[in-house]
Amino acid sequence: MKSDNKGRIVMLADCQSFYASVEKAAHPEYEDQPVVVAGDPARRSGIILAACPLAKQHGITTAERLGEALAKCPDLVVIRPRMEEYIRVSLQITEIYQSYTDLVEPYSIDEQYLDVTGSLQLFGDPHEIAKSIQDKVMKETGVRVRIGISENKVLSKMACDNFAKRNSSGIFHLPVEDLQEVLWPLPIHQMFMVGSRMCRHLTSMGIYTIGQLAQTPLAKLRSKWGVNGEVLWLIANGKDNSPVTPSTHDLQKAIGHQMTLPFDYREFDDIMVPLLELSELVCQRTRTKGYMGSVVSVGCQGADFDHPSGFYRQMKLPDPTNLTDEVFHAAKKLFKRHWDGLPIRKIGVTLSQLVSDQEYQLTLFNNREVKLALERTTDRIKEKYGSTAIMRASSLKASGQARDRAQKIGGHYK
Amino acid sequence: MSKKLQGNGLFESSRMMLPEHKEAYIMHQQNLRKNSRPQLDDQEMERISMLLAESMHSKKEVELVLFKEFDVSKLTGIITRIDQQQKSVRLTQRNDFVWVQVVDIIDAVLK
Repeated sequence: MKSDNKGRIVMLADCQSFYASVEKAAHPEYEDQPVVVAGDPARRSGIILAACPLAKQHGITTAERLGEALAKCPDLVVIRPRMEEYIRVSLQITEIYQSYTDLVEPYSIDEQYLDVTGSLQLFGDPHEIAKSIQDKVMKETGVRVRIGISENKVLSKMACDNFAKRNSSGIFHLPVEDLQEVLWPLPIHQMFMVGSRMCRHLTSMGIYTIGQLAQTPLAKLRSKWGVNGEVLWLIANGKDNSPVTPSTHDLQKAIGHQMTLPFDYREFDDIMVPLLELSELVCQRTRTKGYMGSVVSVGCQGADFDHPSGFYRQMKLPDPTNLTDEVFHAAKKLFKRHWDGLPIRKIGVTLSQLVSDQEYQLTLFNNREVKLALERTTDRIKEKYGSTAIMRASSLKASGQARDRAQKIGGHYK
Repeated sequence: MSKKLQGNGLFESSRMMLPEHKEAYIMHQQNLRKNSRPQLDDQEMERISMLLAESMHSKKEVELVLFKEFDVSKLTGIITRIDQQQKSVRLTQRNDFVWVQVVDIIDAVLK
């Protein structure tokens, strides 16, 4: 890898308490009150998705249970999530960034990368640009963004997470020259891509700071973790050539859906109901996008988090397909073969190796045309009248999730 | 070499994008490329209509520049009929012809 990044200016802009900020902007009456956005309290998803800074002052943290948060702060304002609105605002913010540079890449709903190298002539130095972006987003959406600035994506991400989020201006510039002085003394868990498990591994090797990791011989890390070891070493040394790529989301490699179940599913027949629903969803999306896929994968996760169980397996189909029947048949076969019989809480189906549906092999014994016509008709009904307008009868059983899922995005209310 | 070390691989493998967000983003990007319909002023419309009439009367080839949502297309031929009711013109290309909506014509050049 080359490290010829000189002169690039890359930013990571992160929205503070994004969902909560959007809600506070929509409800000015709550301005001086602690606000949280929380999933449905009646179900397992009853956790805090976002807490505004005022709520955080009461010790409320993201991902804790709503009950615990209410115990800490009884007059908390609890708002039900509106995922569609958050996606809309996220794109509105993308558009604001795009008024500074065409190189904008969303990394998640509240984090986006910007390459402003070509905009310096127009909008001034990096700090001025960051300040101007911050003001504009605040004025137009009421959301505060924190911006990390450096010369590549990993450094701007670490500048944002470790410094811009903690200082008063919400902007931090980390030039690569300051790497050793500023970034290296930080504890290893504050590095990008180091999770709790990797942190344990590293500390057991005697690596406690980012600097220590950077100075560990690359060969040692590579022999231990292969490519992942090399990735960590490069990040610790601030080396990264990844371009900010607006078209990064264009290429679809796979279409998949997964869901967390509201309670533990123990019986094979019960599990088949959401499995069929997921197969149908996956195929429906594959059809609307004009694809067929030839690899079906199924994954599931056990109910007992202390003793992780589950599997992720795939199989290749003889011909590419986008028919619910065929995908479900394969998924069922995979599940039967690999399930250990333990109760499960999460299940997913993915269709990959996508090809265009414009040409396909005619099969002699099975009338796919008729099936496809039927599925296209149900797709159109769903498109027009909503996805619960027509369902399989099995979805009406207690184990069915289709009606509940239709109201949600990413497991939270639309 | 692994994909994580190439191009944008590190970020493509680590990002958290909701499928619905991703789809909305792709739509957003497509709409950025959308053309907005140009507003022709009266003199320009008059100039174009004169060129169309001239093509029809003197059987001269004319190149029409047509507005499309995502690009601009060009058609060359001789105007052989102007339909005031349908607000369209018939463009003849050798033995074939097409009807073109007048509102889509944003420029015309006599060959």
